[in-house]
Amino acid sequence: MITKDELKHLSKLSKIELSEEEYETYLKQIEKIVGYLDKLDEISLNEMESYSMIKKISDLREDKVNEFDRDIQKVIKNKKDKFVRGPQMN
Amino acid sequence: MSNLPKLDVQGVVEGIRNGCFTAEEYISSLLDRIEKIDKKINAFITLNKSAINQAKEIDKKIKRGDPVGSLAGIGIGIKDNISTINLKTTCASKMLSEYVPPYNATVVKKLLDKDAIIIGKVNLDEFAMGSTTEWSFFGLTRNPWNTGYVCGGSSGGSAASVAAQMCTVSLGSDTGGSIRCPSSFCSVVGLKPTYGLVSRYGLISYSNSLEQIGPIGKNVSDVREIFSTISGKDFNDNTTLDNNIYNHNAENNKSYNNKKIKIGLIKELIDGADIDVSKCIYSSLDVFKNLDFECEETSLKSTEYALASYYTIATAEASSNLARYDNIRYGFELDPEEYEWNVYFSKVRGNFGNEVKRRIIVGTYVLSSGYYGKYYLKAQKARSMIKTELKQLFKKYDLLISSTVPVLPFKIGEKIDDPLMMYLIDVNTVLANLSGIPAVSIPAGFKDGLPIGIQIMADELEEEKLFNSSELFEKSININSYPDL
Amino acid sequence: MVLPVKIGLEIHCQLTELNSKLFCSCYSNYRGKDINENICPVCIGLPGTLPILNKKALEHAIMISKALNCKVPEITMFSRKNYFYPDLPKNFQITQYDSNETDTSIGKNGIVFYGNNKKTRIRRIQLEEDPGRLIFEDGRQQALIDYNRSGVALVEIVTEPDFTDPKDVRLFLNKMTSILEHLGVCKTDLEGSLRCDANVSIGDGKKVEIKNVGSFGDVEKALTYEITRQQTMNLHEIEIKAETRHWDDKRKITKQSRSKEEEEDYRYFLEPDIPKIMVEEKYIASLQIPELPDDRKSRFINNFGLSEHVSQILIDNKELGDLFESAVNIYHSPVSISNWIVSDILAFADYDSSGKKSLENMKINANHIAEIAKLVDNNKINRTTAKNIIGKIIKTGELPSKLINEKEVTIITDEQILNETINKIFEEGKNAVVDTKKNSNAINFLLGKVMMATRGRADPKITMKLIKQKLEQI
Repeated sequence: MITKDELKHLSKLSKIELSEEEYETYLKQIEKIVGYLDKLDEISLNEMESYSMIKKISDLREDKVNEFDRDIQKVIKNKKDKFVRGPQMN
Repeated sequence: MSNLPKLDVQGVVEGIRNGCFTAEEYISSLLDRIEKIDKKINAFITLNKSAINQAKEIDKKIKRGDPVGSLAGIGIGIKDNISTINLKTTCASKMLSEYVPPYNATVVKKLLDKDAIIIGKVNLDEFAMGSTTEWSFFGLTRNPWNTGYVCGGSSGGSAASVAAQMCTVSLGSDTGGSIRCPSSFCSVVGLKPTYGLVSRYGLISYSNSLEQIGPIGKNVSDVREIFSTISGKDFNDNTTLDNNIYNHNAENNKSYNNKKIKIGLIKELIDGADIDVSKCIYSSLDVFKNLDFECEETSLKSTEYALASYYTIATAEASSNLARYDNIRYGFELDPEEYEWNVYFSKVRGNFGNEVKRRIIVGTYVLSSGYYGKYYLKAQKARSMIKTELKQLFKKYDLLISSTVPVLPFKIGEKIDDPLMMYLIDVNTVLANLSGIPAVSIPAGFKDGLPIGIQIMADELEEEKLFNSSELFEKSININSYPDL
Repeated sequence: MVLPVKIGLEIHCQLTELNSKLFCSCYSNYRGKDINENICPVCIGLPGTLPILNKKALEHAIMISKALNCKVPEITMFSRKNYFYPDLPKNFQITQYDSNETDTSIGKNGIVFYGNNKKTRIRRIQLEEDPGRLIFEDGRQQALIDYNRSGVALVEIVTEPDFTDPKDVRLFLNKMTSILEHLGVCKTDLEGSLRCDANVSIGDGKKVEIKNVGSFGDVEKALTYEITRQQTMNLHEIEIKAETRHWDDKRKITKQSRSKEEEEDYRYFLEPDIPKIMVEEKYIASLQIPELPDDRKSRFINNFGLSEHVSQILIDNKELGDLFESAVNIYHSPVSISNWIVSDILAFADYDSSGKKSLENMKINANHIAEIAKLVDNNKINRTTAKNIIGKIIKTGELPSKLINEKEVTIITDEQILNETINKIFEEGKNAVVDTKKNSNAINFLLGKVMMATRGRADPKITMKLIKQKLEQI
């Protein structure tokens, strides 16, 4: 059971604004989806095989500087005196 | 000339090399076809304006007698979640509608190094989340075989553009079946490689532990060719495997020629499929039997948790990967100056499409305090169970098969209002992503003009087995038809 | 009733001695670079980019772990801390803390000895990336963002809440600074290279987190203020809330930031883009860990015969220790050299931004010190002269021998010359001469006069001998 309050909390946590309509539609849909995911309850959490990739330290990147040589400035659309313009902070 | 778009990779490369036609003529033929029919399909988001000039450059090189790359002149459609320098890369989303990357994805660089030409960026479900390419900010892509029907997803543009001969081959990405599903619905060949064989540098991430870039082509040979070009260790992607691991295995694979290949048909997946689809798969089994493969039914019990595991892990990773879209550094026009930062972030992120928003919220939920153990941890456990069970099966079988998708292509709009119904389409394909094994979809037949694909899976690093057996099947079944466009 | 105090620390140390950032190849040293010029697709979080771990960062983090006596895990891994903030390009931070996993750190369960037989346990050590910097335009609320620092490697050191006194915290932080300097992993006098947050609680009360403390010196002040605040609240039976407060340096108080009820849910999970990393025993053993302060101190005491007090000063400030050893290498007179450094040269030093004495801008080096020590030991100049010269050398960097020649500051030992001056003084100061019969201190007065007349150059011993001889003659 997902309540509207929980959905509001999730909307805040994920920083996604939802309209009243969306709250209504999503609530039903997400409840259904999460209800399906509840299938996982049947699984017990005892020992599991770990298939993670493990790297050696010797395989890691050397500590060398390599300046990015392409034009990255044009990607950043919103600048003020070379700073990136952000929103208001309180 | 009107036959040029029908050519496969070998046909194009040899044709140009032998002077039968020029690269310019070939690329023009593709562009002409796009102009003629893409309005019916909507496979392309952005066309590469420099394609013709690049083709001319290749022709000049050839004329001078200079060496050209082994893919010289072929035209590639690139799924629009793969970064291309100076070519908009939108992920079919408003959030990136104006974004032009300052770098090429590694796979793009590798193709360009062999003188392949990018025709354009092709359509997808927004941020690769979907199974029908109906969730695109730039409108849906239609199935070339019947434009009233969906083309599959999320790499719908990639599959449709190849099926409709608007490019020679294309690149897609596969997180839960996104290459194989549209390949099946569009009657083309699509490969999801072993996790770690193809670099993800430049792939705009949806679910990093599940996704891989892969090729889509008219036949197995083309897919094999592109796969060998794009695969390989990349220092820009720490999750790629060392080169010697794969090559080494390819050597080992040759030895299987001496004994019969054993195929297992996963009964849980066949039982779940529509009757027309399963009929087609059983017929395909007969084809394999005639090719002297040993076939029998087998069981993969942990299938029942596969979809739940997939959607838990994928949405969790997505909720984190998509957090960066706050419109501060890149995105669309909306001045942040007037807004308090929480309000600004929430407002701009409201511009994601519905499916993306749903998945981010579900992903946030399954990772949140108190729920991590119930969902995410259990999903990882299920994933581990599936991989273990598959490994056991591969001790007995060389290949495992099922239909790629449990249903026939369906009408546009049919499942759009029921997300869970939509998710069920992926039940056959998520197994390969969860376990990291390679899987291919190849055309197996039609029902009422709608394509059906068969999915073949092999153990990790055994792409060669997939290619060899698919090729035999392909020759045997010999589907030689084209959509009427 | 005053309740017992518990303080724990979270120290963030930038790995300033790396060439590149933690996950990309941009410069690690962003200071002085033009705004948003030290960036690349990875550290500004462009779509499609992946983190590529810096090998040397891991090495430095392991060195810190070993120096703090931590256990280094066999397999180390990274995680994501998910939260939104305009200085965080990906809106998650790659770190090594995962509330769900058992062991994701690069070191845990360590201990640090400091002060007079004090010790503090280290809970964990982890690598993580620094965010960018938010700057505010003149009183405006609008943020301006500079990503030059984004992605720089940080090591976070978390202590157990073993401290009970802010003074101890200060001592501990001094020790920590010294250890990091001696390891060569952090230049602690660089602005922003070493930051510290603290957690304080009294009795069984809730924990209050204090952030935004500018320097280590301020940590003690902030803690003292906060403890007083909490003890006062307790006396008045006001409940102390679990919250985050920040240190207001201007007003010298802690202020409420946000309450823990709204605490962020960071939704930690293992970072899928970075594989787990095997840290083999033989790799750790192969690391060349530089001499740590405590070992250096023992060596100074045992090999050089320095006092405990002087040795402590030389290791509290690595610059001084290095200067000492270089000078001793040139001229082996450890005790006198150490005294010149600790008593005289240090007196001229200014405090740097971190509250430590710094030899920056001083032009004196090991060669100078070795020469001075030698000149004094060989009785070529006396101590007063030496002190004067040191002042000049610090400003100009000139060699002592040159200054001596210029200024005629050599000690006068020639008895004839000395007697000439003594005779003059005796004539001018007849009263003093008479006084010597009654008052022995008057002799010092006469000596002083000779020293003044010779501008400090007279050899005091010989002069005294000659004065006494003359007095006997009278």
